[in-house]
Amino acid sequence: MLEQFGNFLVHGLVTGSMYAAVALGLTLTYGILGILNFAHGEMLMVGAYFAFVLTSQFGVNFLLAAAASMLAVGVLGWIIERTTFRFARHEHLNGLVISLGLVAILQNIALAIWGADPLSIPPPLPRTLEVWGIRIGEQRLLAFGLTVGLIIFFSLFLKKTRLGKGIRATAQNAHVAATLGIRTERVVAVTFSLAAALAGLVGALIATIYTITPFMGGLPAMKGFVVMILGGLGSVGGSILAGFLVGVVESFGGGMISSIFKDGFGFVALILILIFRPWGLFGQRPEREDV
Amino acid sequence: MAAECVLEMEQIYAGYGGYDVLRGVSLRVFRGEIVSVIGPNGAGKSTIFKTIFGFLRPRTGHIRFQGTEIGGLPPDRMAERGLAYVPQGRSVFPHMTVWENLELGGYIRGDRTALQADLEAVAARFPLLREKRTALAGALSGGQQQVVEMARCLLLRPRLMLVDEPSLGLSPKFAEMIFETIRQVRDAGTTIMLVEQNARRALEISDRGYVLELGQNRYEGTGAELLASADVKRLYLGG
Repeated sequence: MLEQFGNFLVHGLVTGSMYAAVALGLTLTYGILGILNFAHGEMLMVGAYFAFVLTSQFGVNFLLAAAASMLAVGVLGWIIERTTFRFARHEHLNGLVISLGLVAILQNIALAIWGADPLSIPPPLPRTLEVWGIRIGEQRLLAFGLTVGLIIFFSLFLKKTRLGKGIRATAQNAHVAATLGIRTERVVAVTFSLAAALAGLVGALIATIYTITPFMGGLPAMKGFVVMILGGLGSVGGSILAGFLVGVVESFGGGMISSIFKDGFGFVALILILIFRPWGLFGQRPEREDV
Repeated sequence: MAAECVLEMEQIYAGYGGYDVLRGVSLRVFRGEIVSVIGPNGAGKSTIFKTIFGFLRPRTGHIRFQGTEIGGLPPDRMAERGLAYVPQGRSVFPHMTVWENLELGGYIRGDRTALQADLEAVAARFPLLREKRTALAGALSGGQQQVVEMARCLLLRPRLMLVDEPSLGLSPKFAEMIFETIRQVRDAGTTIMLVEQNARRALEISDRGYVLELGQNRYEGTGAELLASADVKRLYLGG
């Protein structure tokens, strides 16, 4: 019984780390663009295919391929922001439409190149570890380690560095940030690119655990939305913690109640929590307007 | 006056959506002055600042800062030229600490050690900043936020500081402290341009003032002259 608990917890944390990374990217984009980027999942998909091509067709080492995916999708994100979202700066609805358009465009490009058949990257670490009755694939541990490392790196970057502070300032008030000499347009492009890079890495990691299809980005993005709303829209720390929470809730729910309904438990948690805390777990309670 | 002209607006027309709020504004600010712009609501006082700072593109006319044309330049290019802007209303970054807010005032400065010294000096000047150092700026009172905003701008070491309605929504005691601070900032070498609804108090601390009406400057003079003028008194100072 205790072993089973341990298994659920560990696997939940591994999945949760992915959710947290996706939600962190979404939160960064939401902060600077003010929209939910529906195409975030497609960035992840592009990263997965990129890593697939490098490893299976060019025989590149997986870790190198994952790093290359991160870089490539980061560049793609920069190009996308500069060519599309920058023109929707003051019209959030336009931004949403752009992101939906990007979903269709990126999915269909992938479909045209690689077809709809699921592909996969053979896990570079195929063995399974067993410690105290908890069984877990080494590949999942690797994915967990890399994702958590990256999340910590990003959090510290936002908190401590000059550019990180510039990003937070721009997210909170772009006009005021500009008056202090912060090049807000550049900051927005860089932030979008960083969020995309994060998605690219997660995509490469997911590709070794699940399968790659042109439509693989939909579910993680949807989970990412749940997580970021649960954590409190715009709260970086909140979205990270909520990511792990949803991962663990799904793992326990799937294991103990119903494995078919696994993907639903996160939504159930979201609804329950929003009833009592409409601003999310770690979000700011909205201020009452003083008259 | 032989002093150096820091800012010059010449026949500025600017506004929103084809409607000009400013219709031929011309004014000058000399080094070391406090210059107030007063006038009724809707006269275009704040629009002057938005136009100077690049948030609004002038339709015609010239804006020169230290002799260089800056009309139409984007807002994020002003700080590096020595122009600072304290906007109207709350402009702190609410989810960052007071100290982080201050540090952002030095965002474009490369001189790390001098910036650190300036931070300490500002904190010594306003004890509130050190007391509340780790508090979230959004949790401060309106007056306290105003202090953070002014201090943050000072860290830019600006040549000219545009201050928009600093006393708005503050208690008389805090407003008085802000006016006193503005005077001290000027005495320390920063030229100030001030937009204020409390016209009387603004003119009292100003060297010169402009009275704006319907997008044009109607009267100009020293603070004392404007305070003494029967017209200005009747129209804008409440009799």
